[in-house]
Amino acid sequence: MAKILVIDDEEQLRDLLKQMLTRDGHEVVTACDGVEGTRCFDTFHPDVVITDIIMPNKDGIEVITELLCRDSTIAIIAISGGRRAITAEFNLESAELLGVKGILSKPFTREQLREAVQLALA
Amino acid sequence: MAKTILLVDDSVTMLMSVKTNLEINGFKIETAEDGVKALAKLTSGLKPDLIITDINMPNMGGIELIKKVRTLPGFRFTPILTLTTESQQGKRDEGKAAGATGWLVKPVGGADLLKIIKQVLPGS
Amino acid sequence: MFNKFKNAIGYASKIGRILLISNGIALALIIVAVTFAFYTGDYASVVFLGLSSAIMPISQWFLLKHKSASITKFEQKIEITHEKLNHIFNCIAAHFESPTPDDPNSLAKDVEVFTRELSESLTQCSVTLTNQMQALSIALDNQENERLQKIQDTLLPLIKTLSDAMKSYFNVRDKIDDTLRIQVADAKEMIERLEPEVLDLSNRLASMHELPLFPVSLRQLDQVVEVNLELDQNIYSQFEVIEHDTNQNAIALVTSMESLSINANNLVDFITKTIQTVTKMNTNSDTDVAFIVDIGHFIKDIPEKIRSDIETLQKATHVISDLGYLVDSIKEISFQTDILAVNAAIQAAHAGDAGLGFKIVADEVRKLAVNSNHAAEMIETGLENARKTIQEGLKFKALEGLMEEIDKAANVVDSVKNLEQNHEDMQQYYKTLFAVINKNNQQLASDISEILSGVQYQDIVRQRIERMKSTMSRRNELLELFIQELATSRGLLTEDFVAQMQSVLNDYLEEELHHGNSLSENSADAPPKFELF
Repeated sequence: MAKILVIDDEEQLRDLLKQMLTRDGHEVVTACDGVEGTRCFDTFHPDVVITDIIMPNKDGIEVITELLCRDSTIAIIAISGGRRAITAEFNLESAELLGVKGILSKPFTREQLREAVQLALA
Repeated sequence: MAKTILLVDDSVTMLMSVKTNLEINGFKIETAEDGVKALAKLTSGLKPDLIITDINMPNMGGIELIKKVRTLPGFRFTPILTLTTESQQGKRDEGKAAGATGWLVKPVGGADLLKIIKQVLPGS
Repeated sequence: MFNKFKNAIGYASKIGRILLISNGIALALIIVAVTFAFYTGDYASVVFLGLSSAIMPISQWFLLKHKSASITKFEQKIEITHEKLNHIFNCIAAHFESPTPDDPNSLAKDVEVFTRELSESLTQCSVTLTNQMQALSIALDNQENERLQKIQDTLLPLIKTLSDAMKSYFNVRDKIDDTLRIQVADAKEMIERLEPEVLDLSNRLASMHELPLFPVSLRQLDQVVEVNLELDQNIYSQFEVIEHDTNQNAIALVTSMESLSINANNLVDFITKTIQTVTKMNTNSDTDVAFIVDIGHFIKDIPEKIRSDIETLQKATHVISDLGYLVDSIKEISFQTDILAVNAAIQAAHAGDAGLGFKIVADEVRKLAVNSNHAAEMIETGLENARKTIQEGLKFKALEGLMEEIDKAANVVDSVKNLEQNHEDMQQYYKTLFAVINKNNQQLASDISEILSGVQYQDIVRQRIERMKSTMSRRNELLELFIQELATSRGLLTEDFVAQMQSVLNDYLEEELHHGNSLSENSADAPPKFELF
């Protein structure tokens, strides 16, 4: 139904997300970090972007800031599990203040993912 | 590099509010209270990237100012916008004929003004 | 009319007679009803008309049946009609009730009286008619000519009464007509008489010096006032526009301020929450740094400690070396002593018995030399061992006591790793924080932009008020002039003040059209607010 771009440095999670979303009928493209992610955005023109926060090379915060600068209406969903002192809560709250349309805390269920995607597409 | 804008209006409050608004958004602003003062600035070295002017002013009004500016060397293609309460078609045609690039009717919201400036000044 | 009826009844056959009689009466009633309808427009008359015309088919029907039973029915119907007639006439009478009951001369009173009388007559007629019709039928059945004659005699006066009623009605109507005509003529005559008198009066008034107002001035005054009122209405509506604009503006300002405040609060809340994270990171750092500093101090001291140990040992080695030289001296001395002892023994041998004592001493000295050599050798071995031991010790002894410290130092690697991670976390934290603050500042700048643009309304309203002020001062000057002239000119005004006042109004309206206002901007055919040529 919609074009979704998934950006995450964890291969397992990338595949899992791709599988879940494709099952729901969406067209999914994946990227392994922020650099690849922003490149894919320019060519794929997705309706929704799902991005992890903590990634090497270019992290989720930079991705969100850049994408919203290019298109202030793009729907972004941020996911985070947190790492050491930087909690998932901190990352997701920051993402909300930056203007993402949805947040998911790891681990999340298929239902939560579906809900977040529906909300983002509305 | 910051772009320069020349504002021309006989109302002090107008000059103040538009100047502050544009400065916050990174422009460099020069002001003048009527057409005569504006021309004086333009002929003594000021070369703004954009001119925004009122129409009804003492000493020299906006329409006359626009006509004179278009005859100055180097200002033939400078974008000139009017910011005025005059909204009738007749006055607009006069402005267009004198060489104005666009017509804005007061009041203009902050975001709207920036959007229009971005259109006439690409890369700002 | 009266005679014709008489003849008609005389010449007709028995059925024909009945037909003529009933139709004649019905017709008369219709005429009355029509005239009433014409003069009063009363629906009751129409109903009366309907009912009266019903009499015709009813009587025909009776004739067709020609039996006693049908007569009874006919009687019943006549009775009903009679009741209805009564009712209708009462209605008509009520309708003619005089509006000024106290006036004994009113025409309405006359008409009322008349209708009452007419109603009574007609009621009587219908009753008599009923009876007569009944009698008639019986007479016809029994072929009673005398009876027929009697009936005829009764009917004739009935018809006469009816005709009289009609006549008196027409008289009253004529009287009404005449009265009205006379009154109209009177009124006309009065107006004709008064007109020259009015003109004469106005002429006389004009020539009187006390009254300066001429009818023409009056008209001008009236129109000037009207134009003024229109001007004031327009100015009033401009005040409403100002009110509307400033109201909208104030609301927009407050909304922007609220947005500003909410954004600021959100940011403060967020930062407050994250301070815990920062505190935790700082604590971790402190611990690791303290440990590393300790290890650092320790490691810094090691060379010093080693150097001092080495110095000590070197000193010992020197001493030992010095002792070594001593050993060599002892060996040399012992060797020389030995040689001396051998020489002494030889000498002693040469001396024979005299040298026996000397030989014993020489032997003893020789033994001593051998012992001291032996001792020197032992000292040498001992020194050598000592030096070896020190040398060995130099490798290990300096660090022996510090093994624990060295084990601890191995943990430095972990601490450094922790610091590295902590540093990473801090970087991440500040990067994210700055991104959020930056976004907030953008929102702030945008809100401030909107607030500033609200200031434009001051200029717009000022211009609007200036236009009103100049129009009103023009109008006031004109009015003053007008009033002066009215007071002094005795009615002859030098200028057309109405036209001038109208031009003040028109100029103001035209000027207002030039400038947009928030209420006209939303109409479909208004030109766009922002236009790029």
